[in-house]
Amino acid sequence: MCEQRERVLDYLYNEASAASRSELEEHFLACDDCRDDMRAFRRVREDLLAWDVPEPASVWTPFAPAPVVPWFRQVPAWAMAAAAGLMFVVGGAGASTALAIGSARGAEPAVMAAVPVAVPAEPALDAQAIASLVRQELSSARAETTARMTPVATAVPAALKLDAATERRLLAQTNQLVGASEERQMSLVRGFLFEVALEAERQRRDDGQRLGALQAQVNQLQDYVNQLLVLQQTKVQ
Amino acid sequence: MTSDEELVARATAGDQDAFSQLVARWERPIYALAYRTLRREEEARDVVQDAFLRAYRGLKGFKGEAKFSSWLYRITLNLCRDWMRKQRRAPVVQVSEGTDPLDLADQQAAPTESVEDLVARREMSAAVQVAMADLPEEQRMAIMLKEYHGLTFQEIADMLDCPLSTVKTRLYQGLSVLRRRLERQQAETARLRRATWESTT
Repeated sequence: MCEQRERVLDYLYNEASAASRSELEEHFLACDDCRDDMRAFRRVREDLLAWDVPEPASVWTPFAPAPVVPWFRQVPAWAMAAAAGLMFVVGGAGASTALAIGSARGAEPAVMAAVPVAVPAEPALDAQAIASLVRQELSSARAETTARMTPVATAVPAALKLDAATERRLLAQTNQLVGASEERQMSLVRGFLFEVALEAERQRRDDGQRLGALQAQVNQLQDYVNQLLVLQQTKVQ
Repeated sequence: MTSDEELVARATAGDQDAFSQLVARWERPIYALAYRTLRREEEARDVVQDAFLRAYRGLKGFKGEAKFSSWLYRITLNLCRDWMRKQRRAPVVQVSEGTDPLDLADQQAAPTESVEDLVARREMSAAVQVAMADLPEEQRMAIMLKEYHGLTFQEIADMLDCPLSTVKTRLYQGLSVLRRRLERQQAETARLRRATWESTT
């Protein structure tokens, strides 16, 4: 048995240096045992891939979920205003239904004019405007916090007589916490925007269905009125 | 992507989101290690949960001398060993026997995988599990950490607290045993197929 047999593993698992690889390649040319091992181990490695693992559901639930707060309390006033504006725009597009009734008298049989029912517009969701609003809100909140905290940031180190290094470390930690907090807030805002977009889309579809039903009713009425008109005209004649 | 080290630092400072990210990143490999070690789904899930809880509680003691993943693997292996010791038994091989065509169809790796290929893959999976179960624990561990988790020889040596040369010896011996068993198994399967074919024709 070859004394270098375990070196096959360095080659097999790509842990040999370039020099060592060349050396081993030379060796394989001369050593039947190692060449045989190398081929067989490659096959074993392929066979080992057949052992797959079932996909587990996530098992990590140790952090208690956040207390449930009614959604309208979680939403900042500016976001409510933006959402309301959005609903207004989407709703407005569907509210422009108009009826036009043609004249019932005339030589020719009067037929009621076609009644157009406005189809809901494409979602008028202006995500960019909302995102811009979010950025403005965040920016003004940051400015406000900075304005409030600056005197504290000056007074606290002086009162505690902190040395420069500790102050820098605390500052770095605070910045890190603020950054993490902002990241969380942004994630919440993104989630909220997503919900708003979903709600708007759902609303648009509902409106579309309602307007479709309305259109059908109006068409029925139109047929009925036309029949009446024809009857009336026949009577007159 | 944020590095493990950064996430560990943030988690140590109390950021639960950072720790959740670490969990999301490592949950699957850790489960795979526990599952292949214990070969039981329920127990593997318990071990994963316990491993992350221990890691969370022990974060402050983690000095970053090893990689976070190596530390997590080590915790998991220790928990698996504890479990096996408590049970005082070696893990059993749970090989699914389902040969129902519908059951098989659910398990096709890809729509293009034929039923024949799927059956062959399942047979090979069963053969691998049986062959691995018969290996001594230290050889099985070395092979699992190398093959399924891609650790370097040195990382395995650190994790199993043994010299690097020992890791290579265990790997070499383990692979040699697997080779013989799998070759025998494949020869036997081929013989059976031939016999079935001859009897039906």
